Amino acid sequence: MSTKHIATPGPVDRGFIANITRFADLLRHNGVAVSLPAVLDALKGLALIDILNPAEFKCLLQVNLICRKDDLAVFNRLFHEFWYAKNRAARNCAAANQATPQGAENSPSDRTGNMTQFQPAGAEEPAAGEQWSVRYSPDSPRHLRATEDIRFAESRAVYEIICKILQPLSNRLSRRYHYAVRGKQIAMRNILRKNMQFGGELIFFDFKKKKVKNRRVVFLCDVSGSMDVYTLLILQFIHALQRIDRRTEIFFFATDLFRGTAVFELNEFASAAARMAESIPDWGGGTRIGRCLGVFNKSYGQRVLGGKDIVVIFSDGWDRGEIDELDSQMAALKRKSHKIIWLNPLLGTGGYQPICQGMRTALPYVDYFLPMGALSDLRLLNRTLEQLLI
Amino acid sequence: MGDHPSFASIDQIREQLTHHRYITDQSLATVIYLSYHLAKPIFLEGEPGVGKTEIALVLAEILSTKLIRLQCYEGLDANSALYEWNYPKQLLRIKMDEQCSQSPEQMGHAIYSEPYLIKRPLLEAILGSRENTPVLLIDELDRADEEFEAFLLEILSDFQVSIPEIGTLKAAHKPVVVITSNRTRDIHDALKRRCLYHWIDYPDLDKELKIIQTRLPGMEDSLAHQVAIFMQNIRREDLMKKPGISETLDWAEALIRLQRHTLDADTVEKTLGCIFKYREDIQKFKSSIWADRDKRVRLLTSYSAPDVN
Repeated sequence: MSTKHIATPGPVDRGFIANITRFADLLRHNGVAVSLPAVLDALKGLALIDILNPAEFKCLLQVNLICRKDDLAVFNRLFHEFWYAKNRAARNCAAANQATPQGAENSPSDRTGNMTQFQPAGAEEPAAGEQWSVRYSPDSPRHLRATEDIRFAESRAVYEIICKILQPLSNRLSRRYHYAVRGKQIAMRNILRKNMQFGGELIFFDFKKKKVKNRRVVFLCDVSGSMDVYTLLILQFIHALQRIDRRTEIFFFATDLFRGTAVFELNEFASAAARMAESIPDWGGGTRIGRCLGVFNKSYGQRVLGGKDIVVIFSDGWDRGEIDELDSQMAALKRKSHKIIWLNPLLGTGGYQPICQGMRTALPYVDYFLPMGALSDLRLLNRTLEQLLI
Repeated sequence: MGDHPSFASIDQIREQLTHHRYITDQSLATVIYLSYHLAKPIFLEGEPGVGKTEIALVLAEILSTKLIRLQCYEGLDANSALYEWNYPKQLLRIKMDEQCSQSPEQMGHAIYSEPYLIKRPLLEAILGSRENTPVLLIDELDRADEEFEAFLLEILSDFQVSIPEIGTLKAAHKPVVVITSNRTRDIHDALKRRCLYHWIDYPDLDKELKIIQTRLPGMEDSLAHQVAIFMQNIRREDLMKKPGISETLDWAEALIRLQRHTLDADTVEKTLGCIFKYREDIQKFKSSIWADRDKRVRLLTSYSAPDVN
């Protein structure tokens, strides 16, 4: 690179550099992934721009430190707070204090804050309260059927059905080729190399065919109070699935997200279930789907989820959190995954309509909306998945 | 990368872009400036039709160099992105040389030499940098699969490639790289980290007007105003696909062809296909936006006389 002497930002004041690294720290504490090379590049860039021009300076930091659109709002807010702070003291302690109080509050995203304004205050809450009682009706016939099935589910039979269900799920054809003894296309590269020994006479042939890629299933399982009755069946399902494909990921959520993949590695379902109940602090609590999906997208979405994976959300859609956040997080999840299957235990109950706000918001992003409360629903899932396979 | 006079300062870049009919704001010019001097690729994201690809074309024009374009698709692999040997040509050569008694080594040298190499865009960018540093456009990276992303990571870091039969080829200067994505899926952070990220938003009214006037100098000012206002307003609606700046230009051009001087209800209805690309959007526009008198008036507002209709 023929750029002008940028290796050592010598002429730049030490305090300024320290401030930039502090600012990068502040971003990190607010959930923006800022890498060290990015900070170094930002520092290198200082020599290239007019530092006295705030717009250029902001742009320099933005292009280097931010690499996701979603982080732009956080960046803009923090940039303003940090570099235009009236009291420099706040700036100095911002990084030291890990997260400033207001930073911690707003950290998930600025959007949440903005959007709550548009939502009619308290419009969702009473409705949710009404529906809660419906769901907890003790003599719901559905309820009885579900518990009966759960007992049945613990037998080996459920495993067999589950294995059948999962069969078509596992494969998809990739457009990438690999070499094979038999295939649809000839592999000239290999053929030529192989037949070089015969002086270019083509004697042996090689072929290539499309690679089969395994799809992976990522489960997001609601373990809030309203789901208690139905959870056991799906947990069995997930456990069995993980025996088939070790890459299966399981997340539990209620008010917080918890990664349960490690717990499920235990071979015995009973011991896995026991460990699970211990390790999930808010088992049986309220639900904040939007927030939990946000945490998932932010911290695991990049690493865990590939564009070809299938996300299965098991929840009744009762959300006590912000609807706008649920909407944006579902959109993000949709972008990251191949298909989203939403399993709703209430769907099987007669006359159920997805009218609650959470479910209504999530539905447009869901590819398959299926009931899941009894074993018979697993068979329905099976049929759907078979169609789903390309 | 040479020190091109057009890239000496941010303002100069902006001037040059305007000169080449690309209207932009300070931030994008800064990104280009930094990318040029830090030798880092630019990663552009934005809705379709906001001018992501165009920037690479214009940069190539400014630098008066070649634009090498790699269009991504699923299954794109090293063979179609980097290089491949021309096998039929090699076979023919072998057959032709059967009569002459050539040693296997000589034959090997002959058929694994540059005339038998098919240069794909990435190799072309590496080799091309020896003369006039080209602009490499990697378009719609979100369409390629993750395997390709990983491969790209390697190339972008040092612009060096090893071909077993020839040896290692290295770019003399890193080319200007523009990567675009429509954000249908997220690109891995590892790749983004190596780039300067910029999000191109829909333009504001002034910018949109300037773009129309620059791209279509033959258009009347009042009509250009009306088109820009219409577009700004329609983007506020909840649509499946909001029209981008490329739709604006298409539409404006259509209006010129239709020899319209003002935007009226009839013209809009006849040219809806230039603006909306989804049936649902057209339906929604007709039923809830166009039917609403207030909205209709607002959409057809002209700059000089805000109370038309």
